[in-house]
Amino acid sequence: MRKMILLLVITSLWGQVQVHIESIPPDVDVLIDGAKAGTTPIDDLTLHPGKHSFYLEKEGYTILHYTTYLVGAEKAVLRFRLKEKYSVTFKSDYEPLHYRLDGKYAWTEEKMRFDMEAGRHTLEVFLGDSLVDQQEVLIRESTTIRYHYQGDRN
Amino acid sequence: MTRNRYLQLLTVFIGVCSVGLLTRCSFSVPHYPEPILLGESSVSIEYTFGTVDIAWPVKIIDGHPTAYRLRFYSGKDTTKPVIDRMLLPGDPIAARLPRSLFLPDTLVNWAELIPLGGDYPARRQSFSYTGPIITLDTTVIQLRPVIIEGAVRLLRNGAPVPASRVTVTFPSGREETLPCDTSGAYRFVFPAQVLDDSSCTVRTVAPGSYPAEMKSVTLNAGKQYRVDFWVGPTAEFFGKGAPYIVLEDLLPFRTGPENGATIQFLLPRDEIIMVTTVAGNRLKAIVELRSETGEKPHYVEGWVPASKVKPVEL
Repeated sequence: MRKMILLLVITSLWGQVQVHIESIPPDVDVLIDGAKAGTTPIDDLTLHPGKHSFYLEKEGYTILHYTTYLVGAEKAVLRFRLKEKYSVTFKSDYEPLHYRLDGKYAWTEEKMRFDMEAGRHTLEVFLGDSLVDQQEVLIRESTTIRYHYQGDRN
Repeated sequence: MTRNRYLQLLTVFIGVCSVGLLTRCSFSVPHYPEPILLGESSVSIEYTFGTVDIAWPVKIIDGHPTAYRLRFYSGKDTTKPVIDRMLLPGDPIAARLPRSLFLPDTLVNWAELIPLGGDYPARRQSFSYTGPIITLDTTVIQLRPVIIEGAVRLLRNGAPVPASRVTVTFPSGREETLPCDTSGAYRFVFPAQVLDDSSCTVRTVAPGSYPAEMKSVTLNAGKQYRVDFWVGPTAEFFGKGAPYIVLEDLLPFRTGPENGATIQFLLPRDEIIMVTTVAGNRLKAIVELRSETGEKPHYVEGWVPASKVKPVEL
């Protein structure tokens, strides 16, 4: 019986991985498998090898949701980089158009407000089923995008 | 502008704003329901693995391997090695492995060493993680030996022959003798060098009343040879009379009891004969003639002098 208990203790300790979590920016709230794990940097964490879900959140930044299979190493350092989130207003001057950002976020309104991750996004403009324009939009601050349709309006 | 005029303008402004808020027109811009994400991965994971040094001492007692193949198997899968390494003679038979191989469910792992450059059997050894340095048990490396084995048993009922011995003789002069065990079995294990001789003879000597038998073995057909000896008379022969043993080599076996009768053949010393009739100092007997090919034995009747044979218990 003693041996069994000792074996269980050994095997349970053996499987643990020391986990260190860093982030840019710091002071990000971290949830692991749905439970609050602390605020980055987190140093005193041990996890069993296997599938784990990490959820990082900070005001002004996009939420980062990351699932990974943690291997049975001695130590694992996870480094996350959260991207800034900006408020962007889109305004167009031609009603029949509809729009799509990054190939998946679509809308038809002439005016729209977005929470956009910083970086280069692709704006596609459609008239009916036809793609009439495509532009790269660099977001690095809260701003207003004014879209002026230069095609034929008849 | 009077104070009343300001109040009038303020009232108008508040009214316009209120209408705008209530109707949600011109001032209101819809908010897209989800954030616009680029979806680029911004995560990195850096693992640090502990290591385990595994040393495997070997002792070469036969042969000169030209290389070694060292493999390690996790307890999870004993068919697919997690590490397969080639080592040269003189290299230490050792490896530094990540500790991650030793998960709780892989407490039993396997190491395999395959000497190359000859007919060496692979060696396998199980081990568990006991610390950062693991030394396996010493393993003997030797060319696969030549094995000659078989049994010495009575032809009439298959019983072992007590205290029988078997001798193997090689043309080079090497000779070894082993006693049979209680089941009549014997087993010789020779180093591979005996294959330099292309053949050998295997001879059995059963004590007392059984003639020695000898068989030749060709040594180029493999490394394990089975040579069985069936000694003594057959059950059929045993029922034909009283067993006697020949006391003298080259004893004439005549067609009749008289001295001038024709000699059919000469009997060797220790041959077993079955006596059916006693006529003075002559005995009528039957001799069993067996072929090497295992055909049905032949029986020949004849006469021998009573003084040259004696009764025997088989």
